[in-house]
Parts: sequence; structure tokens; C-alpha cells
Amino acid sequence: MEGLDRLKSGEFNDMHQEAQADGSVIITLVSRVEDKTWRFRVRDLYGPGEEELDVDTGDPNP
Amino acid sequence: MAHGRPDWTDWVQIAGSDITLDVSIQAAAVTVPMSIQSQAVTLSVDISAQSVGNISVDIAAQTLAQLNMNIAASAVTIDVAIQSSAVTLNVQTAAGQHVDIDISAQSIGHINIDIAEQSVGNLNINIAASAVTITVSVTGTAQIDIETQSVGIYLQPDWQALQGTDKNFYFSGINYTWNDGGYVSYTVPAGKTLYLCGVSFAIMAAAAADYDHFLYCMGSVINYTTGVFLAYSGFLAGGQLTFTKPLVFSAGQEVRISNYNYSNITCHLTCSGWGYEI
Repeated sequence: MEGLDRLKSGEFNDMHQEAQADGSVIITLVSRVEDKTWRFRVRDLYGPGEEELDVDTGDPNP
Repeated sequence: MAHGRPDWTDWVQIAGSDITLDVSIQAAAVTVPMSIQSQAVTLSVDISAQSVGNISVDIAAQTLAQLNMNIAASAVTIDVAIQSSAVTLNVQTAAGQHVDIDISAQSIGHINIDIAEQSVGNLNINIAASAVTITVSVTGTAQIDIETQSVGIYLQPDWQALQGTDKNFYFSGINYTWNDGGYVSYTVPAGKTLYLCGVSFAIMAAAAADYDHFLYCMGSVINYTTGVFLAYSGFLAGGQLTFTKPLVFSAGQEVRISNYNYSNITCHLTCSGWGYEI
């Protein structure tokens, strides 16, 4: 939940949302201040069934 | 007179080479009333000493009209603690002298500085705070003369980028048919406000054979919480909107930057937005 928590707190500078065929979204967050990157997949972002699915923290371009 | 003696004048002279005059009052409560009733009174306390450790003056009164202090010393530290609903503090120095005011506080409500001088040599203001609002109210003519090798002036978006509170959003998606699209969404966290300064949109044909096809996309910015479209524009292949004033989103409001395919072929879409959040 670290990535989703980070998204909700707003403590990042850059966000990339990449739409997936199944309706989920791969989100990459970058904090320049902390020099950190979070990459994770979310289903139903901001919706009632919001759920963080996969977590791949650290490398936005594997 | 209360003591039954007529008006009198007493003269006390203490002369010696080494005199110690200790006055020690030890009591649960001490009252030393001094009532001077005269046409004119001069009460001088003259302290001439190589050094004075501390002089503490504690005034606990409902009202105090004036407290005048004249201090002539090569170096003086004055600690003033004032707890009052209304205070007027006048500081006068001899011509050409310096007044250094060092305020170290967690928070300060207001500091009002009124300078009515024929000339001021230097006015140095150093402000080290995470957030400061400086209001300058001038009646008449304000002349600002900046004589320096370099001056940095930042507009708010530039400044926020420098401070690391800028925000950039980007969306990408593939294989959208006509009237289909996607968006990047973000809900402003509690206590923050998002200022969106610009957005951009792009559309690309999914198949190489369609590279020269008519590619039309519709980009928009919507406050999804209120349901109000704030920007809506169509583009051929893509384009951008730079707002002359930022679009503002309050805490709890969701912004969606969308891009939709309005070409009759399958396309990839991107859109982005930039601004800052404070």
C-alpha cells in the first residue's frame, strides 16, 4: 500500500498513469525531493473497489 | 503630619572609605508605598558602575501610561516580554546608531514597522520562514531602487518547482477507437490546493499504415468532483493549453485530464498536465 498511500498523500512530483486493457492503471510516482520512485498497479482508482494489485517499487522502466 | 512632627528636612550623609548598606526585607508580603505629592518631582536613579548584573523591572498594572527608559551604555541587552492586548513600543536611538531586532519565535502574528525618518541608511530584513506574506502598503510614491549585480525574481510556478512542490501528471493508453479515451486523475489531499498551469494532448495512429491519417482528439480538464469542465479543446495530432491563470482545485476535489480519440481509426493517446500544489 506504500505507493497508493503516497499517491493519496500527494507527496510526489511526477505521476504517470498507464491505462491497461483490464481497466486497471499502472501508476508511477516520482519524488524529486526524496529521490524515490514507486510503481504499482491499481484497480478502480478513487472508486469504491479501489485496490492496489502489484507492487514494483523502484524501477519505472524494468 | 501623621507622625506629629512639623514639616522637616533631613539630610543623610554617609561618608567612609568602605561602606556596605544592606537592606534585607524578608516577609510573606511586603508593601513599600512611596507617595510623592509635589508640584514638581524629579526622581533620578543614577547607576554608575563598571558592570551591572541584572536589573529586573516587573510591572503588573491595569494601565501604564508611559515608561521612559534612557540607556547610555556601550553595550546593552534588553529583554522585553510584553503580554498585553495593546502595546505601543517606541524605540529612539541617537542619530547614526543601529537598531538590531532579532526575533526567534515559532510563529509571529504580525510585525508592523513604521519608519518615519528623513533618511534611513540601511534597512536589512532577513526572513527565514517556510511561508511568509509580505504586504507593502504605500501612500504616495513608492520608489524602489535595486542596485545589485543580480536579482532573482521567481513567478509562483517557477518558485514552487524550485521548492519541489510542483506537480506533473501524465497519461498514456493504447488502442482507442472512435469516441474512446482515457485520463489521468488525481484527488487533492487534505490541506493542499492544486494549481494547474497547463495541459497537453497527443494522438498517434496505432498502425503504421495510418501515419498520414486524419488524427483528431478532444482534450479536456474537468473538476470531476463538481462535474464542471474547466477546459475543453480539439486538436489535430495534438496540442497544448497554457492557462493565463492557473485552474484551482481544492482539497478533496478530483481533477481529470482526459483525451479522447475522434478519428475513425484506432489510435494511441497521451495527455499531461503541470502545475504545483501548496
